[in-house]
Amino acid sequence: MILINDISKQFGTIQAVKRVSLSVDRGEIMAVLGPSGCGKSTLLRLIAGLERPDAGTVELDGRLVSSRNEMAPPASRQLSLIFQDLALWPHMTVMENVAFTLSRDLFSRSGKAKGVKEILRQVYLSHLLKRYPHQLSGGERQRLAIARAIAPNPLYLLMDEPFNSLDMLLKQEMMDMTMALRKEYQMAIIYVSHDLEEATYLADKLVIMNRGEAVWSGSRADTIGLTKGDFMNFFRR
Amino acid sequence: MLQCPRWLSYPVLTAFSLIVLAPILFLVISPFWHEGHISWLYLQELILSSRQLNLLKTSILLAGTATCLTLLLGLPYALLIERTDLPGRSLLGLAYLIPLLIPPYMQAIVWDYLLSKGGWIAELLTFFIGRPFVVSPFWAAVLSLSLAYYPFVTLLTISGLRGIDSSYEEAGILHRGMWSSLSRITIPLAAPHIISGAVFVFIFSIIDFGVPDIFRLRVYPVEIFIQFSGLYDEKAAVVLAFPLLLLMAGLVLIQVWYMKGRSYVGLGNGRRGSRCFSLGRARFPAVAFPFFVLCLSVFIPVLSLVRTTGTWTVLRDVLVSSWSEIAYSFAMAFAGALIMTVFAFFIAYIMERSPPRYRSVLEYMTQLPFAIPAILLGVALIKLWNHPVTAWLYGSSFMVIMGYVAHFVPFSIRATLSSLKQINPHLEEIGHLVSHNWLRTAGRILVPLTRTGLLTAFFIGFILSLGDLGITLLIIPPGMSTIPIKIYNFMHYGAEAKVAALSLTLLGIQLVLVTGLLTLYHKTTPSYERP
Repeated sequence: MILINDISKQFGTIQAVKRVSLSVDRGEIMAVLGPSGCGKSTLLRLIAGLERPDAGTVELDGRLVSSRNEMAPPASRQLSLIFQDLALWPHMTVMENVAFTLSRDLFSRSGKAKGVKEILRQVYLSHLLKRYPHQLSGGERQRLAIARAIAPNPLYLLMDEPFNSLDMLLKQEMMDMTMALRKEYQMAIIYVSHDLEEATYLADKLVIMNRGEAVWSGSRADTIGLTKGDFMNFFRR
Repeated sequence: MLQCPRWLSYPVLTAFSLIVLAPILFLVISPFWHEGHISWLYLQELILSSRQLNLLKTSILLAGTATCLTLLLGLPYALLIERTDLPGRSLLGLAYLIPLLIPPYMQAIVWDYLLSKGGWIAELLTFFIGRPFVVSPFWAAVLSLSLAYYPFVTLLTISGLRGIDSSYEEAGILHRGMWSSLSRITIPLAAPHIISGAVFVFIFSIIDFGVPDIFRLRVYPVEIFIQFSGLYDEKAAVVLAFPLLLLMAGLVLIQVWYMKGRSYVGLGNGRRGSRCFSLGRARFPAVAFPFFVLCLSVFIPVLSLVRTTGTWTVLRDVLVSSWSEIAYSFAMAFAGALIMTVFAFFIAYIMERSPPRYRSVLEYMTQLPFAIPAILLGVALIKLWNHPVTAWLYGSSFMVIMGYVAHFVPFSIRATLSSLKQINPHLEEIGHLVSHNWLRTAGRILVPLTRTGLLTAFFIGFILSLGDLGITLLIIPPGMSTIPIKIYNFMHYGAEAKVAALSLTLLGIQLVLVTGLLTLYHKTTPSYERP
């Protein structure tokens, strides 16, 4: 379970995240919605341990991993993050991109290669092992980013608007893949987006952020009565 | 697609060919031209001699060892200030540039004092090892060259690190932690810049004249100088350097290929970059490394010069007696840097707006001059311009300016080109839509937007010209002298205090000017350029 308690982060004079609290259980997808610059990505970076909070805490399955005074190294958190720009390492092949995420002791050398191939098979990339990221299509790059994220078998998956630049068909394919992964791996997923339809399709829970604050939260069922106009009002506050 | 107008490209490329390429062409043709016809004999005789092989061996060994040492000093320095939470990063990010103001021959003078018998470092080491400390001229030269040139490795590594999207490293940290991310992601992604920095240092070290001359090492530039100035055999000087020219041409090709239009330099050093790696408890002890490097390259040399100068009276006397040299050096460096900058702007524009196949050729041609030993370039300039028709030019101070432009313009071109590359071509296209006048569009749109690159080009051109010894030594007009030449002469007369005082003067002038230029740059930086 990801538990965030009253977390805040300020950059200079800008309050990026202000006293946000939320919790996500294993096997659950939470969508964080909000306009650009509302602090969604900063929230993910705080959970991942890439930023130190000014106040508040982050707990993963009851273990305190982030607070003002304590920071567990990002690599020890058993989580993966899919960046908005995917951040696929340009100097590594498809296979190397995935293999690098696996620690040396996770698999033996041959076992590691086998594991990597199996993961790439799941995302339909097993025929492109030797290609570099720039030699892949948009959809293949997205699938590689997902493969890299799930390869180390994380307990938590953070997704920062990863399907933003995709056409509708591809986006649908990726969202279905995300749902399937959640089911198979029972991960707690936090999915950041600014697309309401995408968020309601994917998520079990939703949080709406504006100017660093969580201004609304509820389950997918709670969104049924809400109109697009209501959501826009949250953004305008 | 935008193209450079012909009325601009033809005269600029002609001037470039005359000033920069003609001396190189002379150096390439000369070895094959003997008594009015093509001949291999002269070349064969010199190239296959054992002397030639020894020269090649010593030169490559010296430059190679110096390059390895600069990597050991410059690479960790860059990583520490650019990628960690090291205290004082901003200050250290500027301080490493100071050694660029200390010409290599000045490092050699200082380390020659310090490591010779009676020098305090030699005494200190003698005390520690319990027997007389003797350093070989080879290692003293390696140290001097490394301390003078490591900033190039740091500068280029920083430039490479700044070009890496921080999310690549963050993705690595999430899965494998700091050290794996550093070794498997950060360094490989910055590798083209690091290797390019190493190639730069190798070229600078192998063509350097001052340092091996001070330590009496027989390498190419020293031999060329002896052939030309001592034995008055300019033909032998040029032929002797032919293998070196081939080696340099190959290295420049590697350099151009590796960098493929990447940025080399920027004036914004010291600015905060991405900070991925926490040093934890090692944060404060880690400061010791950059401090140690700065001690060796800046504090010890400067303090040693102050100590050798002795009293204010010596400094004052040297200042008073060298006033004309100071003024002349300043005027020549200023004029050289100004012409270089204007020239670099036009050449960089022509390159950027040329079709790719011409661009590659131009890129190579514009890089070539910096790989030619200054002494050799001086010989070529003399042979080319010392004719009755050009007598008005030869023997004038313009020769010196032309020498500076011919030798240092590659650096100015690179600095300007990296700025030009960042301009969205649409900005220029809109300018051409509203005005037919190319110069107006250039003056109102291109020049303001490449301001940083142009200032960097001027800064580099000025500093390199002010400290130049190799070219000036050969082509300076009779009766004139620059500060480096006066230092060189004093050094050969054994006037240590005067050498130190004059070196301090040169350093002082450079420091004041650079500080002034940087202050001006930061004060006049428009808001859209501020980080």
